[in-house]
Amino acid sequence: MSNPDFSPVTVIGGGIAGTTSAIALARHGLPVTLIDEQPTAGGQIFRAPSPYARQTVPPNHEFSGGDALRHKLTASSVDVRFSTRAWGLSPTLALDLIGPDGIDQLPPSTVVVANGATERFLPFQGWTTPRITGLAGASILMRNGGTLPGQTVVVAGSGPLLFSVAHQVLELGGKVAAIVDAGHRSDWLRLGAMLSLDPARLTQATSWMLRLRKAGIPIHHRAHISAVQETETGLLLNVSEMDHPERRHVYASEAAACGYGLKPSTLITRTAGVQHRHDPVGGYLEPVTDLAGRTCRPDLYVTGDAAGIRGMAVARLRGLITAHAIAQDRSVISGETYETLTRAPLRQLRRLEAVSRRMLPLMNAGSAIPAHLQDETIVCRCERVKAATLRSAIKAGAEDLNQLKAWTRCGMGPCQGRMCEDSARGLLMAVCGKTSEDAGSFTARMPFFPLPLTAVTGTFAYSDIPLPKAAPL
Amino acid sequence: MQSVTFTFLSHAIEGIEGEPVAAALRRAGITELGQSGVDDTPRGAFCFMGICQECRVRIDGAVAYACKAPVLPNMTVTPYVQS
Amino acid sequence: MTPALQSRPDVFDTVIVGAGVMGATTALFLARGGQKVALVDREDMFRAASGVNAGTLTLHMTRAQLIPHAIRGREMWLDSATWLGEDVGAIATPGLSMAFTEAEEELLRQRAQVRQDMGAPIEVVSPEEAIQIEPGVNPAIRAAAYCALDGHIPTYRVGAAYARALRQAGVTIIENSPVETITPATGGGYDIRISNRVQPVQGRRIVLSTGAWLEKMLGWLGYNIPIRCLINQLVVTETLPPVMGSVLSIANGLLSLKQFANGSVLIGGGWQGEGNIHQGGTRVIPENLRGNVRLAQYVVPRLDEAQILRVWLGLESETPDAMPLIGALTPDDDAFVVGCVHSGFTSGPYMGRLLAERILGGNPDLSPFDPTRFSSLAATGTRS
Repeated sequence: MSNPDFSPVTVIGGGIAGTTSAIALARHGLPVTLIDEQPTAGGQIFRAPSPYARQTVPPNHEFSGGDALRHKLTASSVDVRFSTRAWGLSPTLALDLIGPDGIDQLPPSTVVVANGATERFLPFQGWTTPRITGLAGASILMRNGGTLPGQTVVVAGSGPLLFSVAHQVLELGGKVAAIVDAGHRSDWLRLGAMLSLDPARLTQATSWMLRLRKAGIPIHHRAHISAVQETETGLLLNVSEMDHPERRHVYASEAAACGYGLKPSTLITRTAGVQHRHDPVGGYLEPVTDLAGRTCRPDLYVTGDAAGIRGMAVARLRGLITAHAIAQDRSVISGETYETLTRAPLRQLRRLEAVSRRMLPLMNAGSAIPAHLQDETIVCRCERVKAATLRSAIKAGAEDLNQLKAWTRCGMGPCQGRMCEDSARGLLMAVCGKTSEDAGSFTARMPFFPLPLTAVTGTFAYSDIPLPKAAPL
Repeated sequence: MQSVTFTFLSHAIEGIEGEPVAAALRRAGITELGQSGVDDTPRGAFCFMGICQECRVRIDGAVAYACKAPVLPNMTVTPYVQS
Repeated sequence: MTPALQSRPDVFDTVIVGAGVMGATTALFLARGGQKVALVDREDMFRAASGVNAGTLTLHMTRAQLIPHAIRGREMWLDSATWLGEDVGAIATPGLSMAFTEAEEELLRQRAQVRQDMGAPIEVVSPEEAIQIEPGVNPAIRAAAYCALDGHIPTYRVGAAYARALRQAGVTIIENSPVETITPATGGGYDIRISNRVQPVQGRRIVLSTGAWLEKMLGWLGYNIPIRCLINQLVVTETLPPVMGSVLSIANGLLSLKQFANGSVLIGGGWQGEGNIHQGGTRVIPENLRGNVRLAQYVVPRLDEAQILRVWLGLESETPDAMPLIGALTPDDDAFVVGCVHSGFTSGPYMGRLLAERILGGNPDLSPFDPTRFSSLAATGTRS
């Protein structure tokens, strides 16, 4: 074994995967910094509840699991930087940060990307009204804020989050007007049959489904919200069936939550120049990694859902395995020790992964929706670009997402195209037959989110500005 | 759990110290946090993950995410006005 | 794309390599002059310097010798509806170049003088006058140079407008097609080999307009001209209420500042990033981001309310004497170059049109830009 390498490791993302990884890395004696935008660890699933939610939300696995994780982190030697976001990354992996004390740069280190998933959104007419939130967003509002999106809620989109969110609405005393799912009922039944491999999920799913059935909530499969109108008191939602467009249903509610599954957050891995591939089952781009999260860059690892959506239990296992792999790659532990430490987690991982992969088509069940967007539908919320504008630009020769962006401003706004990328890509694929690879992705630019100009400038005098030499006459 | 008061535009809002501003406003019946800089249509908190940028407001003048920023007593929340 | 190109070679009157402002304008006027034209680019059109630059129409920053060309180029942009077929959103505004120190004031006066001598309507004004023209500037200003003929363009809109005009003029556009070699064809003209095609594209003549990539391509034709590649940093803010109405710069040329119609402010000025045009990939240098943005905030203090939306890097190419390369590369008049124009976006369309005129048999004065000036090979060419 060569000399162990104890140089620093930076973990981006304090969710289940990142926190687990950071704690395990610290146990191997490596100096670890954990960065997260929240004021405490937990990520989206284990996010710490607000003081109000502590009082109003019934005790649940996410609260207790999150508290346990935060407790372990506090007891570890991990250096934490909370309320801090990475807004840039150099090719050498120096990280630009903004936190409570302004901007700062972490020198190059080994980086573990554990920034999890983002939700996939697909538009419909009227979807920019503030009474509509994302599905994951509604869950965060309820779980972590103890607050209902509205007294009655239509829950729409795809994937298991549909039933979780519907259940949370009932739990807080709200009413679910309808569940609108883009997936096939038969896909759910097939998934149900596999859940015996994952008893924790099976118990949870059974209790949700019993409660939803008891509440008599209408569930539409192979359906989606096609349009929404605002009324004095709330929303009027049109629900269309995908295989029978003539069958329409109308629901009234105070609010609606809509999201089409999760996808890995790739902004940082794309900026780092890591190789990515399109996962046709998940319908998303993911970084190419081995089981332990190694990428084509020896100084960059990806773990948890950022490496492909597999859910909470797998994220924890991946975080652990990645930490052990780094320890082995650094010669901090031997190959035999690595084998011993990872034998049980790997076995568990393989079993759970089979179930997780079965979830992916259910999450991606809305993939055909962009092709059929009505012309008047706003695709890019920031720049208010409509489907008709995108269609005509594509017909006029815009060949990929970046050209489409330049021609129409779609994706040019403050969200950097994260809200419209999937539907704009879907339109490109539908109108001119591009593959997902040909359509590409919006170029990732720094800052990764809008940055107050004064955070960059700070306090200064004119003489502090290092003026370069004058341009030629 | 400490109940406190803050203002959003001209409204006095009651919230719990430390909870997200967007949650307190929603319980007060307020979903519209500002308007689009492009066409003035209403916008509010959408993703709750710091991605959509639509819940941004000014808290005592500084731009903040309403989905994340904690309620503090006597703070003043105003829409984040673009051009 | 023309499907026929995939199967059998097609001979064009002119093949233009590099689809930025200069190449695309040359292509447009050649096609309108009756030629069969192909325009080839390694990426999508207008994705390099021409698509990502600051969109400044400026006489303050243009090299003094190019002032007459920049005035004509600016007129073309403002009149794009007439010759390009659609309005690209160019706006005429005044331009103010400012000095905050004694040394800058001296430089300001010197630069204003040489530009006046070349026909730019630039005059030095007092701080009071400058603040009257642009109330948002820092009152610490010592002097300003005022030019009535500046302006700006939302650069990203230009590519789409050119694409429509070129298609209408019958130009064959071959995008995402990196050129690997250019060799003389048997029986005259050139074979242009593209990495993703079996058959070469054939042209009776070629025009190279590949900006930062010119050094390599000129090398294929036997010209050894070192081209320096600048990697210019650009910063755009989210939309803001109006904070300025003119194009602002400072005496040494290292700031350009403007607010577009939608309210976003663009901060440029040629602060450098890092990168390698051949390997790809660029990097923002944090100290340069801070310096550039501090300078902008110093000049317009109200930018302290802005949010930085994006930072990106655009390429600019420069010859050893910082003067353009425009003209014939061979005595047979079958290979041409156009590029490396300092602040080339302003004068670009005019330069492209001049070259088209030259190729179509006209005789515009291109002598100051003769590409053979660096080469001992001069007009002997390299064809053998």
